Amino acid sequence: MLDPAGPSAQAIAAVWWWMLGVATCVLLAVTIIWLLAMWRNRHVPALPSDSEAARGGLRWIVGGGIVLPVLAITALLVFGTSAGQHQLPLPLTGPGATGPAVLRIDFTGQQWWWSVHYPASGVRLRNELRLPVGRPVDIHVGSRDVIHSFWVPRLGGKLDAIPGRIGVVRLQADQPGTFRGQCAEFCGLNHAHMVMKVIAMPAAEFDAWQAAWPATHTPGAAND
Amino acid sequence: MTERTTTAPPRDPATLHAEFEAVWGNPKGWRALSAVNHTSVARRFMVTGAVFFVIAGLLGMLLRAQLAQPGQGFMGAAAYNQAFTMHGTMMMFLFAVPIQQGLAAYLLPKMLGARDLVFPRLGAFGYWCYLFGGIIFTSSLLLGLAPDAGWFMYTPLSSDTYSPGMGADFWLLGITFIEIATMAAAIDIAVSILRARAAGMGLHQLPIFAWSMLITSLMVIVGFPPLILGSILLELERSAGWAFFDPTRGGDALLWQHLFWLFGHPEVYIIFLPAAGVVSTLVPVFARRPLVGYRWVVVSMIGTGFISFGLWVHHMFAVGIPALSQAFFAMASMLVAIPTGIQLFAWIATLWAGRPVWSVPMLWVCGFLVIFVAGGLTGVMLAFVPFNWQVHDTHFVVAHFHYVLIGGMLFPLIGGIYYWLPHFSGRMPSEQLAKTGFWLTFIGFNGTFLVMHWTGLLGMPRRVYTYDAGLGWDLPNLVSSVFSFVMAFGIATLLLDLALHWRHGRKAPLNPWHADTLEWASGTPPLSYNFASLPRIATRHPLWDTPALPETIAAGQHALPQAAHGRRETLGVDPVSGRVREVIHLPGNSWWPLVAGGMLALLCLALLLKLYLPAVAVALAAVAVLLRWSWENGVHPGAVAGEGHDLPQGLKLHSRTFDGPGLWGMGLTMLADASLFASLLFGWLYLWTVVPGGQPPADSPLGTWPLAVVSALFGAGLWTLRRAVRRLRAGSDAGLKTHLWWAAGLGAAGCGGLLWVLAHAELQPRLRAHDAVLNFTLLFLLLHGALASVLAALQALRVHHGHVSLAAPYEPGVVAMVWQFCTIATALAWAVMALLPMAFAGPP
Amino acid sequence: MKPQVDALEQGPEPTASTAVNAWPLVIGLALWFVWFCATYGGLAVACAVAPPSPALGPMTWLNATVLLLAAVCTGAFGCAAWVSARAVRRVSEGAASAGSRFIGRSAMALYTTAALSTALVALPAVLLAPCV
Repeated sequence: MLDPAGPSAQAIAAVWWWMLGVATCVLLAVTIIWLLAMWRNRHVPALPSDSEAARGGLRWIVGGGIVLPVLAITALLVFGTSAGQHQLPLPLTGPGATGPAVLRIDFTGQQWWWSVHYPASGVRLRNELRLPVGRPVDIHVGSRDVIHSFWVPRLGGKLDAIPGRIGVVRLQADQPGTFRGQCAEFCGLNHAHMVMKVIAMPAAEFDAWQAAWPATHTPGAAND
Repeated sequence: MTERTTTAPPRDPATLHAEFEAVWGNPKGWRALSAVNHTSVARRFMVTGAVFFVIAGLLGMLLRAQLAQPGQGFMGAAAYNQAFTMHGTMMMFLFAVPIQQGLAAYLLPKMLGARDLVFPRLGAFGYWCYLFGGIIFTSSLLLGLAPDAGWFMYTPLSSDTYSPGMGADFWLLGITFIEIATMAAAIDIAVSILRARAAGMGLHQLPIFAWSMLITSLMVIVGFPPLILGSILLELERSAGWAFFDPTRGGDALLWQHLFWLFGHPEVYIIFLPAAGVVSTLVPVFARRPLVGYRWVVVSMIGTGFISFGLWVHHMFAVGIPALSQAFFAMASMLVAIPTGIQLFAWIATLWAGRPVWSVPMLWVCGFLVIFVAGGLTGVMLAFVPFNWQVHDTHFVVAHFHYVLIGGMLFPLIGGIYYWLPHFSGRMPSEQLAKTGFWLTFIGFNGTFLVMHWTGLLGMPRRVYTYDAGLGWDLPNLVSSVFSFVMAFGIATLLLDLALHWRHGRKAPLNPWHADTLEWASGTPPLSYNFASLPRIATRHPLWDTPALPETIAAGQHALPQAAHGRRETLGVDPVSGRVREVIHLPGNSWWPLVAGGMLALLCLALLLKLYLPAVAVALAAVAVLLRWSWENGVHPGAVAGEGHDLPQGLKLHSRTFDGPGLWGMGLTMLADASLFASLLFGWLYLWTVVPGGQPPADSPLGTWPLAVVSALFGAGLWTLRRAVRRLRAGSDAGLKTHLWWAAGLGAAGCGGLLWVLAHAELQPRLRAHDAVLNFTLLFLLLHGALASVLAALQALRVHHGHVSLAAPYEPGVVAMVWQFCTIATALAWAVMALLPMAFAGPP
Repeated sequence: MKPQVDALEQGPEPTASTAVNAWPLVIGLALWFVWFCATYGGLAVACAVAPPSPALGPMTWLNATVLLLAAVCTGAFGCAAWVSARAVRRVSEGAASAGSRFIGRSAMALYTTAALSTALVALPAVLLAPCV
């Protein structure tokens, strides 16, 4: 997820770097304060009285235990909440929302491979996803047996594939290329090998590929 | 500020010691297996926990060895899956909780100024369940039949379709067996903290460790039952084919996840809070001043305890629950960091205002600080939902929880072990070996798990037995694996130090750390009876404020300074103020715990091997053993010696009053039962809401009225029992036996009603989850109704034998609590499972 | 055996009006948990039965209900905190009533925690659409 290729992964990665920065500062500060507290009074002749200690303590407890976390959490929520909106299959709104509906792709997990189906065009693939650059697609995720999880780290977060329900995650690639996806919920013996390939193609190329399928079907890639 | 705490003339300590040792001492040789003394039982818990820690740790080493290089053939997928499942399960269930309960069982009576915990036989029974259950569970490794569906056993993977072998059954049966020990210890500890303390020790003067264990124990009592229910349901699905989690039969795979995590999140705070209590104990001693912000720390721990029950869905953020619902859990997950932060800064404030001293325990506390704060910070990151979607189920999460668990629990635990080592053994450890062990462990730990965050961010999922080369995962995994060996050397050094110090450690002085809490006055190593006389406590720092306390205690100058009557006694106090209310008498050595534990082990094995008819026979035998054990209670000669006429003014033995530990223990047991039943009702409502087409039919198979009638019958039995207790309080035991037999009869009628409903409902639990839930509920109510009736009948028999009477009026009130539960549970089942569907009849 | 000298020195028994119990420490956050489950469960049921259109965003009757319930509960917890605070001020100083003061002040802090937790946990209902 550190090399994002789509808006969802991009937004999340940005928040991650900020969180890392703040967390590192907090950890260093707390460690230094603790060590300072261990060392500073070694040679002091008189210790603070109980009431002085209580007042000083109140400052530490309220400042460090309440104010600091509240500030950090508020900042995280204010700046970070929009990062999650990219993956939700919300209706496309705004004046520019014309054009075709979001492309729907069905991903069905089973032990230990992904069956992929494009309902609009009838394309069927195995362990492979192709999508057009710059256009969002809605992945409808389901399972035929146990719980699996659909995940392409460079494009966005994951969604579990749960038998008995269909979940929808919206993905978009902003650059062409081949990305890797892997099942991210332990599903038995060959969980480690349940891998998929994601190919993002420029939009025109994608449309051509989709129209020409199954002529563009590549043998040896174990497509159905 | 010293208070006058001595009022009795001193006696010769040697004579006093001999008198107490005769009553409290453990038997020798193989008879020592019947010991119920809290010090002995606690030691057993801790040693056993340490053994399981080493085994689980070795499993972890195997995992790291396999992952050191891509495509390694050291372990195949099947072996690896068993290894990580067992590593996680053993660490969480067989080490983290039991060892801390053991530490608490050892320390608390001593810190609180009592002679024992209030349910010695229950604690011993818990130990045997833990030992036998742990052996059965661990043996699955040797047989190659270990569970392999992960420590959280998600369905449908863990159902019999996808995990056909015995592995999952080992988990479900073995872990549930062990949970009996955890629940028993929690009830024992909670009631002991509330009711068995030194005179005058109010709630506001409790040692912080006692607060943390009180809160933790109450969390166990409420938090474990959802998992117990889930495990029973899954085992029923696997062995009897009942549908609960199967989406093709009206069940839902996510129901398991909800039940599991309702337990699972509080579980990690159950693991953390005792360790926080240890830190709160050590920091003031080494800062050489009282804790700053005592009330803040107590309030924070209570807050953490409650709020932790509202976080469970944060383990399920990738499941597809709507964003707003997830946001509630995300907010709560971030909020819970605040009480933890408050405790942290209270410790800092204490050090800041004190004159801290370095020592081996403080090294471990400092290690805890760095590691746990890092883990807490990644936890706040994980609470942020979009980020969670990326790193859930990757090695980032693995790194996070090892930081909070090892940093937040293991480091304080080891610090506590080093701190109390002179207390356990009377000897000091080696400074050099201890420091080497610390640094190896600290460096090894960070080397292993810091880079693991990066591995997860690079996209490596968890629970994979191998990975492809060239993804950038090779080097980080190698680094983690190499440093894991460093950490293993560190742990080995520690164990060496602990083992050697028994022989070569120099003898410890009486209070080597100049601590303030009372356990340092119970002898190092401790006496079997802790204190020859029980002092009155008026401050939070008894040994700082009254340094002469150990001498005056040993000279018998405080309360209850004699044991010639042959009874094990301690004081029973009001939970809030610490005023003495009665004298609690405790049972001595007994074989019942071992026998009962053995019977349950046989039951576990029978169920595991699917020998169901023998299992029924063993179950009945186990019930008989338990009831026979419960017979030796109260005024039964096996439970108490003498009549208690020689007690301090105005005090009675608790079984001669209307209150005592058993009342509280039964109350907490019913609380656990209520949590289980609430989880069941939740499951019912959940399946109704979530499963498409899952609405129950308008005319319920339970019928409109039968359950109401049954509830009324149980209610009538409850009323009869309560009437008997009211009359006892008013001074009359006329007709006591009649009342009890009536109650038993009403209960039996109620059970008959339930059997009638079962017969007429025509439920198909194998075909529909809806029917399975109803069927299970009826059996649950039947079991409880039968128990209530049998207990009432036994009470009537005890009246006949003179064990229950006006002079011994205690027990009927205790039994009445079970009746209360039956009445309310049946009424709720009627309202939610029979009436509610009728109100919503038809399509929504 | 002669009976023990009163080593307990307890002083007079508390009366009904001076006896202190510890329930206030538990009630606040226990009720918070009930509110939490009611909100989460209620939201789940409403989304299953009558989900509002996603185009409305957070401006739905469902969000309004969640926020209203949260506001009422926050207020109730806040009142409880204030009542605890007032009760503590009425308790006399001195060692004898240290226990009551401790319970009272701790209860005040816990009710405040419940109030803040309710308000903050419900806050996302201002921004997010339900049921998506």
